[in-house]
Amino acid sequence: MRVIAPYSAADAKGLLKAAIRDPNPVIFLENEILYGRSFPVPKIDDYVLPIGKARIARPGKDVTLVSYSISVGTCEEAAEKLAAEGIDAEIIDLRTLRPLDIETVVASVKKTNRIVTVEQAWPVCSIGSEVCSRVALDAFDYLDAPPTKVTGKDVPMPYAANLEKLALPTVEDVIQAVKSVCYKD
Amino acid sequence: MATNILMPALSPTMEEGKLARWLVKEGDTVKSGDILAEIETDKATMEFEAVDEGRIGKILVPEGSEGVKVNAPIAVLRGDDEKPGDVDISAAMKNIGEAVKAEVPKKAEASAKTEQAGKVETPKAETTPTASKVPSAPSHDGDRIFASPLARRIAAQKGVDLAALSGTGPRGRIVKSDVESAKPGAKPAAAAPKGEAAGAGMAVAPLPDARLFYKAGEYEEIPHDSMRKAIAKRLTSAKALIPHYYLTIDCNLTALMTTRAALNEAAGKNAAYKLSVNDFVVKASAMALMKHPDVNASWTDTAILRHKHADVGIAVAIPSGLITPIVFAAETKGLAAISNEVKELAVKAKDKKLKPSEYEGGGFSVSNLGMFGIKSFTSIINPPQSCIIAVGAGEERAIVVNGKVEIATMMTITMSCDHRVVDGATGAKFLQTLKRFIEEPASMLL
Repeated sequence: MRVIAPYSAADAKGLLKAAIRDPNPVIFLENEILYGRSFPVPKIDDYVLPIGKARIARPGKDVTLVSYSISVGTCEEAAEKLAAEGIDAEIIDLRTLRPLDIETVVASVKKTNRIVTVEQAWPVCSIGSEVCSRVALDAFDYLDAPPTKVTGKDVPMPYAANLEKLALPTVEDVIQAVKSVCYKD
Repeated sequence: MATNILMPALSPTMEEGKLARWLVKEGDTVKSGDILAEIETDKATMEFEAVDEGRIGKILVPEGSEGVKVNAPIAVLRGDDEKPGDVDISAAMKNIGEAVKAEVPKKAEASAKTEQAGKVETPKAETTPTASKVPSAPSHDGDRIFASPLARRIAAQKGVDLAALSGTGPRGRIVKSDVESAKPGAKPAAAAPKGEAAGAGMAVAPLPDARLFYKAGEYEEIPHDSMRKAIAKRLTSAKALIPHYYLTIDCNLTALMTTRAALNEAAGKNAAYKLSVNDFVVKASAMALMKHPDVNASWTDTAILRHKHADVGIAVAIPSGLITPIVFAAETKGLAAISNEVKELAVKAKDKKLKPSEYEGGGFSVSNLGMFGIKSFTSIINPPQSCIIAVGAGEERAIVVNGKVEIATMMTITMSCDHRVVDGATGAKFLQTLKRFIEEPASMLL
């Protein structure tokens, strides 16, 4: 079973083709809200991307932000603001959730020594939970701060628009989590 | 437009307070100047007035809540024309988890009108764990040294002894930056200067919990109120961080007693004033401070602040603790004015009605235990001041004058000085002047 959750239009295109061609069952998770966002897409004939490879959306050296789907956008915004404060964040867009490309994450954590996962999901048994647990196993000696998750609030998703907004992780949440693992708060 | 009513900062140092009592209910109409609630700070209970007019839409923090952070929303105010459903609690929800920190009594009525205020439950006290952050304290109690895995690995590679470091991370955790800035083989003494305040880097073994020494049931537990907590915190840090030294001097009160009796006599029967010895001491201190401005000063890391007025604090014992209200610019006030002001402040202090502006700051303090027959004692300096005098009882003693023993009314004054600001000779000269002013009150007129 393969699970794909892309953020950018280019990844969606390349991975959707790969999904179709894959002989195994593939679940392709699209975020509706991303339908309205524009991204550059390379004009290449037969643009296909490998399933199971994460993408380094932004290189950095101080902290690793691991995300997928729409939350990658949250991370990019947070990284811009953090850069202004002198924190250089590396963003990893997982793109594929299963198989999980943990090698890319671990290599990044070995460089930055800190990890914050960001996702629009509940905090318990989330993709972030799994990433943090794997990092604690595979990169224990490289960690300078506890692996930290930024997720939605642990409540049933509210219907009211204002409450829904509060239940989802914000750029501010990411910045705060990054500062706490950088011991800068 | 619904607006949030925020927890007010009632004094410059206030970070959190207790919401002692609500004086309005949800649905009440309030106008500017109405008293909304009583807020208890470290030292006083103060009334909190409304700034805008409107109707109380929702009370977010139930009364009795302790540790409510300054600027956390405590209630929602909405305009008269709005329906209850319009209340926008979204902004309020953001901080509410942080606002309510301590356990809230079960009687919390906060949710009574929730149905009315939109169908959303306001998170109550249960949503707390994220809020209470443990402050970092660089203490290595126990055997385990807390260090991040990376810090341990770097320390092992560099040959740095982790026990020699003090960590800057949460709960004193040693992190990468601490190890990288340490030199290999650093000795414990050399690694101290990481602490924020002088001395904070030294690991001080905490005292064991007193409960360990007594059987349960053999004592009564009296939980700390906010004043007790403030006294403990301030005096512990004052005594630990200020290098105290003490100067003692005896003063002959004979002339002062005569002057005092004469002045009180002159006031007549329904007197506008009744002077105490302490009023003379306050006045004399103020006059002496003007002559010795280097004593009337405060320490900061970069400079000494020399005060232009003699603001003299008076230690007042009240049933739940003590407080030092201040007679501001005492050098400009007469004895009667000082005397009446001190009485007024003491009454306010006992009623817990002092405003922070009436007890914070000051340049000097007077503590008098003479009325209990105490001969002499030493006080702890009341920061940000640099000196405090401890005044003992006026009593008849045998003194030697020109080779003969005479009886005189004597009083012992002990001054505690902050050595960073006031050196020994400076303090001694000040006490000399103070002694002269007390022994010859008329010389204050010069």
